[in-house]
Amino acid sequence: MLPLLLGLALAAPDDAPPAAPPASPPADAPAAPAAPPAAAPSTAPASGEPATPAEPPASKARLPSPLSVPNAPYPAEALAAGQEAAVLLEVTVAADGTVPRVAVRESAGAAFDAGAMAALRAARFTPPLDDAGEPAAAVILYRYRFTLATVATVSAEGTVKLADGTPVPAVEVRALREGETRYATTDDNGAFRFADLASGEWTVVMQSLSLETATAPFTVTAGQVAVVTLVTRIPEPDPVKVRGATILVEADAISTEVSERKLSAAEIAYLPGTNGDVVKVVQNLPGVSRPPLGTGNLIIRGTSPEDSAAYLDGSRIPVVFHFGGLTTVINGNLLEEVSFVPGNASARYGRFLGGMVELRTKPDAPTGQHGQAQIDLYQATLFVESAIAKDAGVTLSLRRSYADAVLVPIFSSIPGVDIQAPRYFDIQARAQAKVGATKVEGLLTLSDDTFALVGDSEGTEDGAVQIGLSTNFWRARLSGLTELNDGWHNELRLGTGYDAQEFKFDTTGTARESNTAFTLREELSRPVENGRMVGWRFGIDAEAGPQEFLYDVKSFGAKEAGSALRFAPAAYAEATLQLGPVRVIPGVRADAMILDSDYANVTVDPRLSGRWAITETTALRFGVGRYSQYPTVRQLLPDGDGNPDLGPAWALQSSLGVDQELFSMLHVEATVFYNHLDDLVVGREDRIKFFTGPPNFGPKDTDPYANDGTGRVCGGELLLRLDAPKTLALLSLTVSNSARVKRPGDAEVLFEYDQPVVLNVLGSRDLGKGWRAGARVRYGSGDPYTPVTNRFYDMSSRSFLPIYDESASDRLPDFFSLDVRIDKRWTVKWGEIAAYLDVQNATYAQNVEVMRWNYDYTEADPVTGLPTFPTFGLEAKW
Amino acid sequence: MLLPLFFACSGPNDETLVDELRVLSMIPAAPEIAPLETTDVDVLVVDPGADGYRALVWSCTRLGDTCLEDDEGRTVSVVEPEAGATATHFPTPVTASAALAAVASPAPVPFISVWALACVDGACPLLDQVEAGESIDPAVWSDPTDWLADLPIEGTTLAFTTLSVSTNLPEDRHQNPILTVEPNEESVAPGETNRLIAQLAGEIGAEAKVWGYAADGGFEMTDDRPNLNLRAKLDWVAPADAGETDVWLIAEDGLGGAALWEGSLTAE
Repeated sequence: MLPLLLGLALAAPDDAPPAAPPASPPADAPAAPAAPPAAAPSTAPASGEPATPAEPPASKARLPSPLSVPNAPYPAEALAAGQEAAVLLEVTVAADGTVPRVAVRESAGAAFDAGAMAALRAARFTPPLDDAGEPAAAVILYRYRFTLATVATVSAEGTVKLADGTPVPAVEVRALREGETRYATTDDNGAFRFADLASGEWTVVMQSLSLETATAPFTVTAGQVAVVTLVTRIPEPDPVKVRGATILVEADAISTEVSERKLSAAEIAYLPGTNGDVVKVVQNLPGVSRPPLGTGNLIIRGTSPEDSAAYLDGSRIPVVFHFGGLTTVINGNLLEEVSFVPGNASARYGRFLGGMVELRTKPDAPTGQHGQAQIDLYQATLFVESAIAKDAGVTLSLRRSYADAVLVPIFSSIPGVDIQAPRYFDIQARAQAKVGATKVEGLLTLSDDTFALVGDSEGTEDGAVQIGLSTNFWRARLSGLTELNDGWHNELRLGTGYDAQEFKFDTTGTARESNTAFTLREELSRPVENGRMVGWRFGIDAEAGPQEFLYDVKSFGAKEAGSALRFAPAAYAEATLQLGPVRVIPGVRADAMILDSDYANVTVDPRLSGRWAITETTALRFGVGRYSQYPTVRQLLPDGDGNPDLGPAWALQSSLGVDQELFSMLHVEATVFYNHLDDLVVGREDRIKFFTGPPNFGPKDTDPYANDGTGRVCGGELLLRLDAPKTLALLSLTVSNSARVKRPGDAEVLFEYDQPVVLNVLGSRDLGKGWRAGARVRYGSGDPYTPVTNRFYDMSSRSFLPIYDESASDRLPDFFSLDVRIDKRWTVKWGEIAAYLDVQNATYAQNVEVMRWNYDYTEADPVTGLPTFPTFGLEAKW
Repeated sequence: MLLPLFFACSGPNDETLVDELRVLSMIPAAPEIAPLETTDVDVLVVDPGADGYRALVWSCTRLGDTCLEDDEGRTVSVVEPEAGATATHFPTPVTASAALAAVASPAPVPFISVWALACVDGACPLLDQVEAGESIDPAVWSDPTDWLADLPIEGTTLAFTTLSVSTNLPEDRHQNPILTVEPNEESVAPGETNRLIAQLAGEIGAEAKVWGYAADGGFEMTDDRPNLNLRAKLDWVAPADAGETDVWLIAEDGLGGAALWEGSLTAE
């Protein structure tokens, strides 16, 4: 027994004198633990402005006074640390005395805030009266105190555990009897305690979203401690709802991707190798190959990075990660979820051959004021959000890397070379409000990456960029999400933006591509729910704007430059048919591409996917569909070397999978897939293009662009997810083969990113007392490369030129990396502080990323990847 | 990530150190020749260890997959350096095919490829076949990259240069530049740097460059562009051991002409 910790989950009365006397004085907390804390009532403007102390109304008006306020669970870590706190809440009291809305005005940290808000939501007040004496809603300020000053007596204690004896920490437990509810939270050992319960019969209830409800009766007798044990289990999956395939949270009913994987931010943030970045976990999922040189490019099911798509709420963005794949271009705090679809995406999405990632922002305006500041060895981040009115709020996020500050001194020691950057920054600003049934939103996001080498050699203008690479984009949009009648939803998003990539070679030229786009997405949908057997989705997805390109680099062919006004409208329709345990989703998408008045093409892609919940724990899923991708403007415009006769490349994607729940805590997902690629645009491999992977060593196809390429990708994916209390573990295995035939009659060659085996094993465990530790092991086949068999010397360029073996006839060494992470979190009065150490490639494995040779090709001189890369970071949340 | 790529940028450049068998330069006496004219191509082969080799030089004016020279009777011969020689010049006469008169001007300007293959003993069966007077498939001469993959990378070196075929009057044709070189110091201490000033004379183009090579030590940069005074600077880093080192500077004038300077530098 721990008498000093007993009964501390008590709310003490505010020590500040109330501005107006409550209708009934607050009870003395120690003497009556179930009594509410004191309120500081005030007049209550609906604007949500802080209610200032006001004179009591002279009329019949009467402010609400608390009748019952449940005790909030005392945060376990704070309790252990002996920390007290007070949360100032803005409480809306309805005319009947119930509490429909609670918002935090002065935070004491997430754990305290959540407890206080939950308590007030369950509170009851005397009905507020207006001047006429009629019941009316009111808003009051309420300070909820968590104090250790009270010493109470344990009345009951117990444990919540699974059937196998595993304790269940951090779940809420309630002790109930008529008219009274008491709360507690289990500690790291699954233990809970109730203090100062009145003698008599009680019932203890444990309810959790992820566990089956458990209840047990007990009797409180003065001077004795009742002991209660609650046994629960992890519920079986709902056979009707579509479940995401992996790290999943339950997919909502509107989601129709049968192979969609949704990521839950809370648990993933602790996984090693992610630096707390939720989106980075996508890189560990089945179907994703390891990107070369840590670029962060997504190589999904044996297709090029440019063949897959990244979305922000349904609108394309050019990149997901900053330089080196270190960080996502959108702050994770803005995100509700990350959806990863390796194949068979919904008709909502198009213009790509491979898979997709969608970053989905939080649809609701922030409540209260919250923030996060994070700083580590290479970047700093500030995130703040605040409610500004009822259902309205603003959000701002700023991030900047300072890797340049670290690298500049290193590179400045190299004669003739100075470096400016790499550095990146991103900004997101957002305003949200709910107007009637419509959630309105304005979002501005901006991302900029720059890398430059600056020379000081003679003949070069001082400070001029010798080599520079920049990638930047911005997006601005207005959105309206409206709940219509009869279960229909309308999504309207109007956006504009600009993105550009530029590669500068000071003495030899520039390569640049830029794209200005105006975007529209209008979607009307009704999910399968509330007994409906048919759901619908209809939408328009359009992009328009000028695109420009300039490739003017010597040794890479003649100068190419061009621009065109691009208009790419699409329309799609999709039905969801729920036939008992079988869900079938047929859909069709029509895409068009129009360039000025010179090019017009239309393609229609039918798609079908489905899921059959065979039992409560077993489900089959399948998908088959056509996916089209138009050539780039550069490939189409005859100004350069383009071919206006090109049509879209297309893929026929098919997949079959099974989901299985085992032993309550183990989720298994296995998928086989086969994708046929056709009409791939090939040619002009001698021309410079933006780097997306290993340099294209080997024989080059220099003929004009043509839709002559074909390809096939087949493979299997396996995901095991162990979701035990305190422990999250994932095993992800991809076995695949990806090959291409460039021109009819050519031999089939391995795709440049073909990685037959990719294995990721990662896990994270809560060690208690705020500590958490995890590790990730990555193993994968090396990329194919083309060996050099001999070389000859060209006197005009005074360089050796290689004689290559057959294309992709050899493979780089296998890849291995061990990453580890340790977190420690402290709860403080105003929030939470955390420190973490994330070490990537802890064993200093020298993985070969790109094969290159010395100047005369007599020796291999491979480029190795990331060395041991420790990152120490600090984070504060409030 | 990117770091390894850039850390490789410092120190003497490996490419400037000639420490194995290498065809180092092929400079025609006249960079432009008319059909039926002949010029000598000076082929410099460096064999730092004086281990011995044989070399073969031939020309090919490609027309499709064959050489014009195939029909005009190609004569090739195998040459060898004197025993113990580390750098040997093989002046090789090259004649522009008579057929070029019908093909030539105004554009495109045809060119003649001149190839030089040097091999240590036993590395290249082709040399044995030529020496034995065997019949050689004409395709061998038109694209040696087809069979080069079958040769060992150690002990073989193949190089090529091109000659422009011109219909200009002799006095209007471009001429090779003149290259003179002056080292800043007569000698430097081992490991120290000696700057070489390369002075070009003649007409040069925007792409003109001077390249440096050494049998020991090395140059910090492979090449330098001449300034407005047609002067380029190259820094030779002396080896750790004292001694005399053969050094070669080769100028490409950016217009098809070239020049070679040979000398020796001392570290003491």
